[in-house]
Amino acid sequence: MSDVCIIGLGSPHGDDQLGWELVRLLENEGVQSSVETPLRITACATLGGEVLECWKGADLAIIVDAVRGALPPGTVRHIILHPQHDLSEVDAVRTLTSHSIDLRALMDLAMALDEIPTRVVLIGVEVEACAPFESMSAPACAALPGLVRAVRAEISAFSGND
Amino acid sequence: MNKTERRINVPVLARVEGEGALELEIADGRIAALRLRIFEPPRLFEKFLEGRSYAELPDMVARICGICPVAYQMSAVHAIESIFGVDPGPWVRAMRRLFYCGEWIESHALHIHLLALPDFLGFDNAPEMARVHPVEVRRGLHLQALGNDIIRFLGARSVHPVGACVGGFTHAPHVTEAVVLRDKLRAALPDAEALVHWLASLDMPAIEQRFVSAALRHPEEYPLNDGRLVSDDGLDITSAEFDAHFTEHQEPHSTALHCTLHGKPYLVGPLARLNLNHDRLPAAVRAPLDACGIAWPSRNPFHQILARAVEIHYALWEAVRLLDDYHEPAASRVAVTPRSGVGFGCTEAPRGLLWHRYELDEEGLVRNARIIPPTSQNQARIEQDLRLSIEALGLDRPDDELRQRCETVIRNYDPCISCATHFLDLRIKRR
Repeated sequence: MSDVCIIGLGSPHGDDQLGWELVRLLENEGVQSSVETPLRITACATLGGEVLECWKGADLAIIVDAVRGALPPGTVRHIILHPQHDLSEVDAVRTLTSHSIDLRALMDLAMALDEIPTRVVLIGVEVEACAPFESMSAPACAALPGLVRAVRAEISAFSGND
Repeated sequence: MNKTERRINVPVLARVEGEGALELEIADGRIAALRLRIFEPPRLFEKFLEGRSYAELPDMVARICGICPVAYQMSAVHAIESIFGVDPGPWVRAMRRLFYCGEWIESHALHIHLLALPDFLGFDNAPEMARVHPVEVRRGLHLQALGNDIIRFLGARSVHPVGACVGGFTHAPHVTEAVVLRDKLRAALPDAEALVHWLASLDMPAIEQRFVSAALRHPEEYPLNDGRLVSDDGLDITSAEFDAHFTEHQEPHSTALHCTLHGKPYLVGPLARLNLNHDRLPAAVRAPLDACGIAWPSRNPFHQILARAVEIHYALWEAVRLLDDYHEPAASRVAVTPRSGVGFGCTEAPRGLLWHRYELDEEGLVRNARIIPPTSQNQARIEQDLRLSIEALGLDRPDDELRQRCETVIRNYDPCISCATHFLDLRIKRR
């Protein structure tokens, strides 16, 4: 049976809370008991060593974060980072993390260290600005149910291919 | 004499936090202008704090920075407790040191392995370095994770931790958690010592510069949370006397305030701390460092990366010592009674001195707040180092070589632009 790791990236600021909010929702739903796959859920703030530590031993890693791309706020993005990652898509969105290496560098580092799950996907929600101490915007809040469905669908699809 | 005009731009400096740029103008073979521009907009955190309760401050200021939230919490709680006349006692003092050890380990390990070290080993980035030095990079990431474990132990989560409060901590972890953590940290002590040996053996640029180091100094301990504010040119003051010696001023090219000591640039951070506190290291940490054959105090700014490794070793050692003595207290915090007044807190963030000043009213609401982060204090020193370093390298060197050296110098300080404005685009103009 495959191990799945969900990493919610975020901060306490505005729409950047999305990753942490998804972790909270999934934990409240008791997602670990509702899927057959061994599942770990972690909230992180930066792309770097902590993410590599989190997905050690996982077969599927799902990174959830607020992203800035060219699509309207609230749009849920699904980007395969590994294998067959589309680097043009990776470069077209910017995950909203700081004090960290970027997404491309994280994937390069994981491959250099041979510490990468079989499949890594980024499920992001397009957002606008994230101001300190602000709550999440209406488009970001409205996107949360779709974000949860996208994460569950990714787990189901991967487990089905087990 | 070179009469041609040369412009070199570093439009965005990679591997630093925040957004800024460096402009370099070279005229007739001399530096005509050098400006480290910070254009990240000021975040005006101090204004956000006005009118808020003292009780909210530790969690609010933690959000100024994702990499050094503990430092912001510590300077804030010390300042507020000085107003309330509260001594939280030895258990809280020990746990605050432990909390800070976690942040030093996590921040220093990140900077060494993912941000600065590729410059010294001739790689463009950390992934390239990891292909050649996988063992060392894995070791670094493991050390970083241990730092996060310490922060999580007391702060519930590793980023934007929430455990610290005025008077102590919101909870005391169970002793079994402390034992598990202590054993993990103790097992990593040889890794930290190996890191010090490895970095000391690297072929660093052999330069010497005159600069003033400023740091806290405690009568017995390597400084974290408390001590007098000292420098190697005779400064010896309390944090309340900061304003009489340190001056912030606005430079037109930067949104961050520059801070000077008696009108001159100065260095804060790991190298300044080590230069002023080498004798405060315990023998278990000092002996392996001294065996590397480097004289302290050091005048080579590139020894900052080595100083970070020494502080990782120290912080691990200190964390194990503190956890050896861990017990669950009757209460994890002491009660406080708000009162009006002005208080100061100065602690050693990973990047150096972090000074806070708060004025509270009788209900403990913030009337006024001032925060001076380490990157503001190092900014003039970085510009001074840049001038000296590229003059020593030779201004007639190709633009790419000058750009690389400038980036290396700046990253060496681990600047946190977000904190300072709260970084790099290099433009070199030659004429």
